[in-house]
Amino acid sequence: MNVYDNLIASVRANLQPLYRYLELRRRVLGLKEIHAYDTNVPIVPNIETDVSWDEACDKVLAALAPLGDEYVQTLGAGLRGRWCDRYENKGKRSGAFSSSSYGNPPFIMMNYKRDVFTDVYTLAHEAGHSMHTWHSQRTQPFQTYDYPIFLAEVASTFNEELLTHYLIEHTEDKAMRAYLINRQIDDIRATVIRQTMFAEFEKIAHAKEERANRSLSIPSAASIASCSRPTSGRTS
Amino acid sequence: MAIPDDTFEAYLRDAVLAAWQVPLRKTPPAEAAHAEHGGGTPARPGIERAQRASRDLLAAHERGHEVRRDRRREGRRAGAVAIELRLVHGQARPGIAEEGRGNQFYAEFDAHKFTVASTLASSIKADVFRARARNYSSAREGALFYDDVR
Repeated sequence: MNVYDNLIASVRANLQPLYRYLELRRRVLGLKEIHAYDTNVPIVPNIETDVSWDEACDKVLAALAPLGDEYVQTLGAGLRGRWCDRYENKGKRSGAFSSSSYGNPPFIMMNYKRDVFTDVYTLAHEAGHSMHTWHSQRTQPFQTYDYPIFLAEVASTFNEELLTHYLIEHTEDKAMRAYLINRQIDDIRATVIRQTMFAEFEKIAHAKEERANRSLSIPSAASIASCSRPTSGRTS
Repeated sequence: MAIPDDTFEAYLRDAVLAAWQVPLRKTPPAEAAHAEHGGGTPARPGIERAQRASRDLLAAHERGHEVRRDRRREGRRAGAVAIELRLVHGQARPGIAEEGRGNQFYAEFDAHKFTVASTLASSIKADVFRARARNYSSAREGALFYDDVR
C-alpha cells in the first residue's frame, strides 16, 4: 500500500517536466492549445526499418543481458522454441499478450511485422511478462504465483527501458536516436504518469465510497474525474 | 509465416468443421449486414447510416492524410490520430477544415457523462462490497492482495 501511495506522491511532485514537454509538443505541432489526443502524434519523423524475427530476438536478448545469463538463456530458448505465436495469421486476433497456466511454459501471442519497429518493443514487453511468470512458477505455490497488474507491468516496462538504453547505445543514426528518445519520453508519459493518474482516480473514487458508508451518488462519481485532472497538466 | 490461403480454405472445408461454419464471417461487410437482417429484406436504415458514416469517416481520414502530407514530412503521417480527430470533429486549424463546428470530441463524452458515471458508480460499489465481504480493510487492499484470502 505504501508503494502505491509513494508512486502517486512522487509523480505529483515531479509534474513540471511533463508540462514543459506538453508545451514543446504544442509548439512543434503548431497548435493553439493541446488536447489529450494530440499526445499520440509523433513529433519526430517515423523511421523505416526492416528487422526480422531472429534479429528482433537478438536485439531483445542483448538488451536484457544485465538481467543475467539464466534469464537470457531461458528466454532465448523459449522465444526460438515454441513460446511465441509470432506472426499474423488469418482469423488471428490483433494485439499481444503473455499467458500461462501453472506448471507449463508461458506463451506469447503477438503479430510481429518486420517493418514495424514498435513490434520489437512489444516482444521485449511480453517477454518481461513471460519471464516474470517463469520465475514466479518456480518460487511460488499455485495459490500465490499469479500477480496483479500493478506488479506485472514492472517486469514488462523495465524490459522496454533496457531495450531503449541498448538501442541508444548501439546506434549513431540521428533520426533513430531522435525516434528512440521521443518514444522514451512518450512511454514515460503514458506508462508512468498516465497510469498513476488512473491509480489516483481509482483510489479517490473507492475511498469516497468507503467513507460515505452509503452508495456513491452518480453526480458525485461524475465530479471525481476533476480530482485527478491536475495530473493531466495542460492536455485539456 | 501465415498459413497460405488455399491451405486455410482446405482446413475450413473439412467435414469435421461443418457444424462450425459461420457464413457471415466470410461475407463482405455490406452483404453481411444485409444477410444478418433476414437476407431477403433490405438492411435496416440504421445499418445503412452506419455504413455511410464509416465511408464518410474513411474519406475524412484520407483527406486528413493528404493535407498532412502537404504540410508535414511524409514520415509524420503514421499515427496521425490527432489531426484526423480534429478534422472529423471540426477542431482542425484554418486551412485544414472549417472552424466552429464545436468541440464534438468532448461533447460526446459530456452527453453521456451520467451514463458513464452511473456505470462507474455501480462498479465501485461492487468493488467495495466484495472487499468488505472478504474482510479486506479496503477495496484497494482487496485489489492489490487478492490472493491473501481472509
